[in-house]
Amino acid sequence: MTIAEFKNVSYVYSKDTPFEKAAVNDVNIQFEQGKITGIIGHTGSGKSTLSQLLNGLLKVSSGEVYVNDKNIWSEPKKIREVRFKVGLVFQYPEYQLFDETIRKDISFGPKNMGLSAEEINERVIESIKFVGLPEDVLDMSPFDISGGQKRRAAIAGIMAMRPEILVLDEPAAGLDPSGKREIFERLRKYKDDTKSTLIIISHSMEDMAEFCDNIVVMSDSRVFLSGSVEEVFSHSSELTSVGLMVPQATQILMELKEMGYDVDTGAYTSTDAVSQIMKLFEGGDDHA
Amino acid sequence: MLKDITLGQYFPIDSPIHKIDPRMKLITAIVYIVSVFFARSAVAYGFMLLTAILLVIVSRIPIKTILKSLKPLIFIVVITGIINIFWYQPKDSSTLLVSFWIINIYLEGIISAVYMLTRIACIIIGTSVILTYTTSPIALTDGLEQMLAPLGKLHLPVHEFSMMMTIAMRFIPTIVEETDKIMAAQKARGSDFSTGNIIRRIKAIIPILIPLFVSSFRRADELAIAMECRCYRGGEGRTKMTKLKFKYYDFLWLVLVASLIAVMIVINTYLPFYIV
Ligand SMILES: Nc1ncnc2c1ncn2[C@@H]1O[C@H](COP(=O)(O)OP(=O)(O)O)[C@@H](O)[C@H]1O
Ligand SMILES: [Mg+2]
Repeated sequence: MTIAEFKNVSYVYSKDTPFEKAAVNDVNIQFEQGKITGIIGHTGSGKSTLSQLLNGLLKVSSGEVYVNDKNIWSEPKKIREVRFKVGLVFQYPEYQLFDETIRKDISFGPKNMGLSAEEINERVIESIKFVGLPEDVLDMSPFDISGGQKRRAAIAGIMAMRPEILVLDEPAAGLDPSGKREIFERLRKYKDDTKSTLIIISHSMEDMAEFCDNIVVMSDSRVFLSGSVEEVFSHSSELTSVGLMVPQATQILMELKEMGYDVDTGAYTSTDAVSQIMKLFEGGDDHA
Repeated sequence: MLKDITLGQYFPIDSPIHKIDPRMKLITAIVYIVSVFFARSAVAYGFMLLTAILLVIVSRIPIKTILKSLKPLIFIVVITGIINIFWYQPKDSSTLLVSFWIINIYLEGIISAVYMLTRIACIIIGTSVILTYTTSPIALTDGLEQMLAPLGKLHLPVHEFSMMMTIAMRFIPTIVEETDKIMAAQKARGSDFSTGNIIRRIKAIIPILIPLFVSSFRRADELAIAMECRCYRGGEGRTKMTKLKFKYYDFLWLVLVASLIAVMIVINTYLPFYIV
């Protein structure tokens, strides 16, 4: 089932000025309910702009954005409700923390929704658990905790709004590999528990390959490829042609194929790659 | 978007005024303002207005840009004009035009209001064309630093002062961009800056200001460390890559602007129309 959709969406920054810049160009994407969709692309390919078009922070220059089959700009006055439905975690969200305590900061979104104090409290506790922070962090100042903890607190601030779609712009940027893995695992658990939809923006093929169900590849403000992870990575040579790094596992298989070995270059996780290579050895044994 | 506001109005084109030494521009801007204050007769004011228009033409700054920069001042100008009309202290020779209740409007009052407006317009157009539109902020601080250098002998921190100005100007676009980003992020959490009463709107600014301050301090800290790593130790013994040097046309320019004062005096004496 489709929960959100871009239909021929274009967006131009600073329209009618000398600085005019088309950041998104005739984009069509469908996001499936309950799935994790990854948006991949180079810096400047328009990923962040897409995310802000989806929750109505930016207004489409042309085309339509649908959330739950409703054009989000049909009632411009109610655009705030769209922002509660589509929660957007910006890149480096830790720089937006502002309140005295983490608790108050996480409450900011729910409070803007006009929820009761009890409801807010319940959501704060729930979301802090989702991101895996201990509860005693709640009464600390956002300026007294570590960078990784800040990042998670900021994500919790959006989760507390219980959006139907959670969009995260480069959630793992600047984290070490274990911090990265933890964030992704927590996000997956969050998605399973809440039955919500996840959209993750990244430029790391590796992370996306392991974590997403579907992938949209952006290149030069357009959709270059889209589909399930398998489909997208079966086009590995096209991906490399636009300068995107395919996962290392796929790279190895591609090189093996070039050397004349019979392998399936659509494999993108290291486990799959290993089993492919093992098969080669088994095949080799037969000849010997 | 905040970005669309022109900050630092420097207009990077090529014109005779752009070429003038920033120090000379600072001096002539002051001289120009002084000459505006010398105007007393209607002809003199007309002449000043003419020079302002001439400056705009020579500088090749689009008229539209100049008019746009005057727009925010309309309110002040109108208020000043009205106050001038009503506050005019009549002399025996004044002509009473309208009189009702306690309000008396004199012809001279209206004339003095018009003069006042012309003066404000000339000063704004003159200084913005001589200085802000045609001088890059960096050149301006450079010029200021070299002009004030003698004060360094009195142990005033001239170099530090100009370094602070340069850094501040360098970071204006960065901070504007950051403000845009933080605003968007808080809007994504349901912040609303455009509805509600004043108190609510002011409250909505706090979630923007605090992160902005925090990151500005962080950036200042990082910059200070980066400068120290490159052995920055203030102005002492520091040389310039491009040293400002006066050229003959810089002096020509000074003479030209300074002669305005003489022209004003001559006009006031020989064409003394409507002096109030
Ligand atoms: N606020 C803005 N004003 C003008 N241009 C912008 C702005 N934000 C982004 N852009 C431009 O739009 C293009 C797409 O940017 P963005 O969506 O941030 O890409 P990505 O997130 O994939 O790196 C880039 O070329 C960028 O320079
Ligand atoms: Mg981005």
